[in-house]
Amino acid sequence: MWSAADLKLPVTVVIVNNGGYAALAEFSSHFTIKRLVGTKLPGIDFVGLASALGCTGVRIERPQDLAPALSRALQSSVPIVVDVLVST
Amino acid sequence: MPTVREAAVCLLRELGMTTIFGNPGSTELPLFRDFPDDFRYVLGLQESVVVGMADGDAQGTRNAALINLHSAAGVGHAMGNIFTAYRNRTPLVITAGQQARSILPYEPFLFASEATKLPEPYVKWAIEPARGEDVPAAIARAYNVAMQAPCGPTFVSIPVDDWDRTTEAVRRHTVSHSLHPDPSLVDVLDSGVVVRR
Repeated sequence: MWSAADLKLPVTVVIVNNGGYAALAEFSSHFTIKRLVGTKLPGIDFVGLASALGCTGVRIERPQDLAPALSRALQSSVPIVVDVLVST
Repeated sequence: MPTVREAAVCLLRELGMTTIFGNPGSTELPLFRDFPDDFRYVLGLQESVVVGMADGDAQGTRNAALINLHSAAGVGHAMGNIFTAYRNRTPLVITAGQQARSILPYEPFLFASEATKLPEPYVKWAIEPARGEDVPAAIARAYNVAMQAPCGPTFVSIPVDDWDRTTEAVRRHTVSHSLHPDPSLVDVLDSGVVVRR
């Protein structure tokens, strides 16, 4: 992200934020694991991370906010991080 | 007689690799002396990011991307995305600095022991040239191996004192990168063949 900000690249980064390693959580049922460790990722502030590395970030918590935020991000001349909360 | 650096710069220009993706250390600095105006250096804060950016560049341009990493620790950080590039079949020429040849027998701090083995088996070809003079030719071969289908990363370990040695200029060779006979190159070959009876 710092490199993209430094180079002022028109890049939109979309994070599909489900708060964890959902693929592993789904896999765990194949191994009949009842309680899986090491797959929950609560509390990561991606907007703050983006900001710390010189990028603008926006957090989307309601579905109706996604389209306008994406439109703005795609028209931006600098990198934008769009942190989209989805169900876990 | 050009220096290794001058010969490498001319060759890289011919190969269309004028962007260097990297994260430098002390053993890489002599590469950057008199850095050419038509080259650019793209800095990543961590080596896996460096390789990721180069991977995207190579896929976008359909030409091998040039990477410069620091010795063993830098290549180690990069390994996850070198693996990914190998799986992606992305053409990358990965160079890494090495301590000076004169002190290699004493296992200096920050050197790469058996440098070519570190990125294997996730590079198609790896070399630390036998002589500093051989570095430009090694880069040329690394480029052609990387671009030969199926594409992938290659690795050249370059001791820090190689860049200022004198060497021969190395020009871009015409090499087919496809697995089947290249009709255009067959024509070139045909035009050079004299049939004698």
